[in-house]
Amino acid sequence: MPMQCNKERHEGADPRQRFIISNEWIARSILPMMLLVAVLALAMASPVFLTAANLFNIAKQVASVGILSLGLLICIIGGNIDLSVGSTIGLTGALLGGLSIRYGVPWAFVAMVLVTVAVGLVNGALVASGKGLSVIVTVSTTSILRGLTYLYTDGKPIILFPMPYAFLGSGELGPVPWPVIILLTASLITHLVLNNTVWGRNLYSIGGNPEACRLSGIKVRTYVIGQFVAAAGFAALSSVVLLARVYSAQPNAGLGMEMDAISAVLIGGASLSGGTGSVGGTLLGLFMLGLINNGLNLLGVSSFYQYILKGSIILVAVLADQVRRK
Amino acid sequence: MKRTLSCITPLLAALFVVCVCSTSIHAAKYVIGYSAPGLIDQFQLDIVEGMREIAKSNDADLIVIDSRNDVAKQIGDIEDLIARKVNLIVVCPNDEHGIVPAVERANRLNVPVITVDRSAAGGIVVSHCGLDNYALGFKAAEFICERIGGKGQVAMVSGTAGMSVVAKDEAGFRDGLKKYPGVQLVATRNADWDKAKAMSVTEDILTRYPDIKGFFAHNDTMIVGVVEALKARKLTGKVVTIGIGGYDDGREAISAGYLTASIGLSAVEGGKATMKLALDVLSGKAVPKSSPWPVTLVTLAGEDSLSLLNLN
Repeated sequence: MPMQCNKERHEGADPRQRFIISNEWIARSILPMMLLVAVLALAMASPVFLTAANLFNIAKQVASVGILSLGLLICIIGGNIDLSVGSTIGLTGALLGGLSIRYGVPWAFVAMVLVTVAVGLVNGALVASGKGLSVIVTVSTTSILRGLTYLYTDGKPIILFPMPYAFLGSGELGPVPWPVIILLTASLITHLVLNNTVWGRNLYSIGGNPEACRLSGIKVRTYVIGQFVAAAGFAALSSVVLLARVYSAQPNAGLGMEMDAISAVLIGGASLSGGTGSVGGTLLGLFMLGLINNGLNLLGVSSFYQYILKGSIILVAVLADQVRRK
Repeated sequence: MKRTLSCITPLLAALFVVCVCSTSIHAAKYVIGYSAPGLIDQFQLDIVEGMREIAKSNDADLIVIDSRNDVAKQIGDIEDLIARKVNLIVVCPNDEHGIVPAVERANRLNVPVITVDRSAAGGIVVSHCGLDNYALGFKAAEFICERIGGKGQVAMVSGTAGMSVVAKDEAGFRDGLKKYPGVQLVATRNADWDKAKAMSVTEDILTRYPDIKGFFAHNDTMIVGVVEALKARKLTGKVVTIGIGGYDDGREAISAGYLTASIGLSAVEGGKATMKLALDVLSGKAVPKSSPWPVTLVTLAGEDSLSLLNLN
C-alpha cells in the first residue's frame, strides 16, 4: 500500500482527489454529522427527546464531566495526560464536606484550594522531571489520592454538612440550570486563554514539539506544571458541582470519570500526541456522550449497548484524527 | 485508514439504528422505570428478572437503566425516567444519601418512588422492599461463631468501600461478634464485589494470620474467591466460610463441600415482590412502609428459612 501511494504522488496529483472530498474535511465533519444523525434518530424515536427540559437534563448531566474535560484538554494539548483528576474530585469533595462541618465553609474552601494547587504542583513537577512520564505519574497519584480520600472519609460518605452553594447542583438561573452556566463560563474562559493569550499559543507549540520550544527559550517546565495545576483546578470546580448535585461527599466520587472526560476531549478532535484540540470540539464530544446515555435511557435500551456505542465513537474519532494527519 | 473509517462509520450508524429500533414501542397499561445501581452481578440481574416476569404478566412496561455504580449518573438516570413520563420509579440507590436529590425531584413532579434492596435517607418514598443488611451481617457473625465454638480469629471480605450497604453489612457483623468475646475480627478488606480481588485479599490475610478460623464475604462472588484461596492452601474444611446471596456459584461451592454456607436471598423472588408492590401502588391499594424479602440459610444439609432476620 505505501508503495502505491508514493508512486501516485510521483506521477502528479491523485486523480481521485478531484472527486473525493479531502481527508481534512471528512475528519472535521464526522463528529457534527454523527451528532446530527443521533439527534434526528432520537427525536423520531422519542417524543420527549427534543424538549427544552430534556435538553437541559442532558446538559446538567454532563456538566461536571465537561468541567473536568476542560482541564484535561489543556493537559492533552500540552502533550500530557492527567489520569488523577477523578481521584482529585474525590479528595477535594471529601475535604470540602468534612472541613465544612468542623471549620465552616469559607475555611474549607481555602483548604480545598490549597490542596488542589498542591496536587497540581506535585503532579506537574513529577511529570516535568523526565520525558513521557505523565501516564505513569498520574496513575500512581490516582491511587494515592483515592487512598487518602478513603482514609479521610473512613470509606463512608460525608453527609449533612453546610452547603450554601447547593444551588450550583440543582438550582436554575431563569430556565438555565446552574451547572450548565458554570460549564459554559468555564469553557469560554478556557477558549479565550487557549486562543487569545501567549500562554495558550505557547501551550499548543509545546504540545507539538517540546524540544523546539525549549531551544527557543520557552520555559517548558513551568508550562507542564501549569497544565497539571489547571487540570486539578478544573477537577476541584467539577467536584463542587458534583457535591452540590449529589448532596453528599462520596468517597468514590469521580471514580472513572477521567475516562469519560478524556473520551470527550478525544472525540472532540484532540490528539494524545499533543498540539491539537479545541474547547468547541470537546463540548461537541461531551454532548455526543451525554446524548448516548440520555437517548438510550429514554428509549429503554440496555446500557450494555451504551458501552459499545461509546467505545465505537471514540474509535471513529481516533481514526478520523489519523486520517487528518496523512 | 480512510477506508477503515469509511467502513466503521456506517457500521456505527447501523448499530445505533439497531439500538433505537430494539425498543418495543407499544402502549402498555403502565410504564415503570427501574434505576439499577450496577448490572454486573447476579444479584442485581435477578432482581431485574423477577421484576420483568411480574411486569410482563400484568401488562406493564419495565424500563431498566444501569447507573454503573455511579451516584451522579443515577440522579441523571432518574431525571431521564421522569422525562420519559414513567408512572412509577423503582430505585436501588448506589448511596442512601446520594439518591435524595433525585427522590425529591420525583416528589416535586408527583412520580411515586419505591426503593428496593437499599433504602433512601430522605425524600418521600412510598414503600421500601428489601433486606435488612445489618441483620444479614449479624446473622453471618452468629453462624461463624457457633460453628467455630466461640473462639478464634475471623476475617471479613467487604464490597466496595463507601457504599452504605457495605457499611451495614460490616456494622451488623461487628455487632454480631460482640456476643462472643473469644472471637476477634483480625482483618477487614475491600474486594469490590470481585472474585479475583477477593482471592488475592484472602491470600494476604492468610499469610498474615495463618490460624484464621472463619471468613465472611458480602456476596457469594467474593466468598467463592475466598474459598479458592483456601483450597490452594489446603485449608478447605478447616475454615468456616459464609457468603450472602445463595446464587448458583455459591450453591455449587456448597454442594462440592468447599463453602460452608450462604445466606440465600433469592433476588428473583425479591424482584417479584417489588414489582407486585409497585403494581399495588399504581392501582391505588394501601401498601406497608416496608416489606421484607424471604431469606434462607443454604448449607450442605439443605435450605432453612431464616425468620429471625427481621431484627430491626
